[in-house]
Formats: sequence, C-alpha cells, structure tokens
Amino acid sequence: MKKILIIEDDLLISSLVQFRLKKDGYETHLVKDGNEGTKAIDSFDPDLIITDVMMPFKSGIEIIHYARKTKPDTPIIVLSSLGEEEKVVLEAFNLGVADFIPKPFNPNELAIRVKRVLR
Amino acid sequence: MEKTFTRFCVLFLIVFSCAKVGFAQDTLPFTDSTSFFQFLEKQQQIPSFKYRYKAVPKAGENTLLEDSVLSFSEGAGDTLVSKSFDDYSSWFQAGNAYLSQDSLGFQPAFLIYDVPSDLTAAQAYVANLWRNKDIFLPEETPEVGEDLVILANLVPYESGNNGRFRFFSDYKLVIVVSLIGFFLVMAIGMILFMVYIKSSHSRREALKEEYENQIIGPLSELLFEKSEEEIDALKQADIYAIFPEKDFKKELFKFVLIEKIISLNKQMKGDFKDKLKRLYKKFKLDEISIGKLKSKRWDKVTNGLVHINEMDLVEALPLVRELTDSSNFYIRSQSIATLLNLSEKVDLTTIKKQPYPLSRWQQMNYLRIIKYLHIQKSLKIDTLFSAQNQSIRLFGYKLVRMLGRVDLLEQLSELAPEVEDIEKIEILKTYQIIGVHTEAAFVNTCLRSDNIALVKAAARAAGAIGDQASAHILIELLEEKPSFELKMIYMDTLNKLDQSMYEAFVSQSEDQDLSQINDHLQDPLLQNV
Repeated sequence: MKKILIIEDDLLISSLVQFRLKKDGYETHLVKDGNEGTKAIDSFDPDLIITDVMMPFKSGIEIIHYARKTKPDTPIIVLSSLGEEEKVVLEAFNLGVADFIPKPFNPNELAIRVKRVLR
Repeated sequence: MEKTFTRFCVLFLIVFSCAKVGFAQDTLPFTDSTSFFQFLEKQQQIPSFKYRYKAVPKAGENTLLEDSVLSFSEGAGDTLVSKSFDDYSSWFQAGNAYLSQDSLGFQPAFLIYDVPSDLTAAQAYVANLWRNKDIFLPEETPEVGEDLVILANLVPYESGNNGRFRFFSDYKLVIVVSLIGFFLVMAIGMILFMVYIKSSHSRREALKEEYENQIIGPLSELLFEKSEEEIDALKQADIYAIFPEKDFKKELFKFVLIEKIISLNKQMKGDFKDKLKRLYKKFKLDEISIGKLKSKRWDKVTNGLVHINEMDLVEALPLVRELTDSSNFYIRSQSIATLLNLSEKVDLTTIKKQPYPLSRWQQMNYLRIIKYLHIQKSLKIDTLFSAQNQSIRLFGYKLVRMLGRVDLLEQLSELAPEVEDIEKIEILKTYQIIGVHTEAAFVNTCLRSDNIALVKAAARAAGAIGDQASAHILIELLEEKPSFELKMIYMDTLNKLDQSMYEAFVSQSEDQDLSQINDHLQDPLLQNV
C-alpha cells in the first residue's frame, strides 16, 4: 500500500483529501504544520508528499528543500491558494515538485493527479 | 532636564508655602509686656522658670529688707533681690504693694534655669516654649449657674454618640476609605470579569474544536458518498442521524457548520461546490444567514451578506437590495457587491442611485466583480454617466477604459465638452489609454484651459492621441515659460508628437531648463524615469 503524507494547516481540507485518498486505497498520514511535516518525512517514510505552501513554523518551500535532501526520489505535489505565477510556486517548480494544484480544487482531480504521479 | 528642574521648583514652592502656613498657626499669644504678664498669669507655672523682684531703693530706705515674704537679700551694687517664686500668683501678691512705690525702684525679675534673666530673655524663653508646644493656654472652665446644673440633672443621661460609629464623624477619612474601597472593588470586579471572559472564550474555543472534529467526518462522507439528488432527498431524521440532534440544535454548532461549509466552498470547485450549497440549504443554514440581515449590528449584517454572496442565496436579493442605501460603508459596499454577483440582470442601476461618494476601495471592489461579470452578463455601464453623484460618473468613465468598452466612446465624446474639469481629466485618461485619435480636437481645447490639472492631463493624452495642432499649442505653452514640471510634460509630449518640431524648438531655445530636460529625454537610460 502506497503511503502519502499530507501537510496542510487547514484541518478540513486535509481531512477531505485524506478521506478521498483512503477511498483509493492509500495509507495516509496528516500533519498540520511545517515542523511536524519534516519529522513525519523521516518517521512515516512516504511515497508521496502533498504539501501546502503557507503554513505555521515552516513554509512549504522549506519542506520541499528538506525532502529534496533526505528523500530526493519522493515526489511532491503542491496544493496552494497561491497562483501558478507566484514567486514561491515558481521556486517550488525549480526545486523539482511533481505537480501543482491551485485552490480552489476538485478532490477527484487531485486523486487522479496522485495516481498519475505514483504510477 | 529643564522640565524636571521646573517641577522641582514648583514642588519646593508648594512645600515652602505649606511650611509657612504651619508656622503661621503658632502665633504668639503675647505681643508686649502687658500681654506677656497676662499670659504668665494664665500659665501660673512655667517649667524651669521662676519669678522674683529686683529693687534699687534710695539711700536710707530699708523697708524691703524687713519683708519676710519676699526675703530680700543684697545683690550686686545697691540692688536688692527677692527670693524666687514658682507660681505667678504668690509672686504677684507678694510684691503687688511695692510696685507703685517709685522710691523703691521695684521691678519684676526672672530666673531661667536658675540664671537671672531680664524681661526680654524671659519673653524669648516663654515664646520658645510656646512654639515648641511645651506650654499651652489652660482651658477655661465655664462657669455654670446652679439652675442649669439642676435642669441638667433632670434630663436622664444619654450618650451623644449613641448609635453612631465614631469612624463616620471624620468625613475626610470616610472619603479616602470610600475611594480606596471603590477602586479595590473595581479592580477585583475587572479581574473577575476578565477571568470570566477568558474562561468562557476558551470554553467556546474548545467547544468549537470539538464540533469541528464532529463535523469533518460526516461532511466528507456526505460530499463523497452522496449525489446532489440524494442530498436533496435528505430528511430531518437523516440529518439527525448524521449530526447528533442535541448538538445540531445549538447555535454554536450551526456557527461552526456555516464556517466550515463556507471555507470549503471557497476552496472547492466542480460538483463539490454545488453539493455544499445544497447542504447549506438542507441544514437550514440559509435562514440564519438571511436572518442576520435584520440585525442591528453592522458586522453581523455584513457577515450575513458575505454568506449570501458565497452560497448564492438569490432568494435574499430583495432584502440585499434594501441594504444598498445603508449609511454604513461596509454594509453598502458588501450589499452592492452581493447584488452585482447574484443578480440575473445587472444593469448597475443600484450603483447609479448611490447618494454616497464611492471610495477607491469600493471602486476596486466593484471593478473586481464587474470585470468578472461583464464577460457573462450585459452590463449597462453607460447608465453610470447620467448619475447624480459625480464619483459614480467618474467610476463609469474609468470602467470604460478598464473594460475596454470602445462602444461607449461615442457617448463619452458627446458628454466630454459639457462636464466639469475633473470629469474631463478622467475622460482624457480613458482616451489616452484606449488611443482615441478622433478626439484630438477635444484634447487641444483642454490644452487651452486655465485649469493646470486639466492642461497636464491633456498634455499627457496629446502624447498618445494629439495631432499637429497639439504640437503647435505645446510650443506656444512652452514659450509662456511655465513651471519646470509642466515644461517636462510638454517637452516629453512634443518629442512624442513631432520629433523634428521638438528638435527645432530645442535648438532655438535659450532656456536652460529646456536644455536639461532635453538631455534627460535623450538619455537612453533616463528615458523612462
């Protein structure tokens, strides 16, 4: 069973994403801030990371930097309300994220993209 | 430093004046020898102070030596000195008979600490004792007539302070204690109030978190497991099966549910958005949002308007329309934004009728909605041109250029010569941005205006839509030696309009400013600065 780490400060959104991904048979782990996110990357050893950009303690960009150092092969999907042309999002792309999903989003579309990235 | 010194001086003066007042209370009860003897008579005995007499009798006068009461003895020279007395009365009685006999040279004398002293020293000593409060005037016992005593005996004794607490007789103390008590009570009250507010707030937050956790699961299930039709078919009993009835009926639970649904609605798209809207109505949360419009608190009304806008509650539009004339800025702005967003036919009449001036914030807010709406709906922007409110008319002219409504330029062209200068400036900006070359004549007319702001706007517009006549007018204006800022605008525009005319003018001119501006305009690094 593939493991997905969801790092998102909005509990409602993360729970909804978790609910949808569980339906597809993934093992999921939720964390609500950047600090917990970096710890979970080590402890949970995910096959995919879904992260927000603006979060407490550590931003999504810091999470990506950390993941690139410790798990360089783990794909990352960025889920953010920032536009695709925003500087931080462009920086995320430069760091090699697999996909970017802008909010508002459709959880079904997210599930399809997750499937594609993990294939 | 200077302030501190001033304060110190003021404090010193206050202390000094108080001290002065204190000394003034110790006024001596005697001023001359007569009042001094009257004072001594009242005192009778004074510590370390004795009375005696001194006499210098004429030769052959031996009467004094025979007085056994005064017991005179020989002093220095021919002086005789009596024995000393401790109290005034015995001293005065002993010598009273001699005082009137001039031949005896009889006069009072004193001993202070057994040291002979004259009248001045005695006065100084007694005055010192008085000031130090070592001696006081003895209280006079009032003489009471017998009748009064008899009458008083007839009245049974009753305490004057009966039933009264002694404390209340000192009104100053009562005031001070009352003030301290009041502040203490207030402080304790405030602390208790803050503790209560904090605890109720944290209780509310904890409850909100509990409800949030309670909501997330069932809401996710509803969104993913149920179709829109199934949501519509939900009955009250089904809802109570999803959320516990006792919680669902609580105001705070519904508040959290509204918050969560609206938050999700903002972040979701596709059929999830539609499902959320259906759930909102199914849970009868729309009634709460619409009910908020009737609140007397502006924040609640605005909150209700935001909910109506977010959840597309079109049935609330008649109520929303009523709020567009509200005197409250936020209610007015949000109600118009909601109306623009939700109305099927948006003809901007609501904005046109606004009696209040539109702020830049409002204009930006409406523009954001109108920009999105004008793609889907037919907006009659031209209705704003005939608004009574000038700020609305100005907003209308701005909308023409922001939305690129070239079809309205003809109407603008008809209006432009008649409107006020401030509106002409806005129309000129619109012409400049859109590039309406047919309006060069209007630009040239504005260049001749006495209003500097209008001339500036026209000069800038001339750079984009001006003609040969504009160039000639600009040269005429430059020859009138305007301010440096105007020269800069005119030169820049002339350079854009006709480079050969510009160069010819600069080469002929002896104006130093023009030469500097020319250097600036010709410098490739400064061209856009």
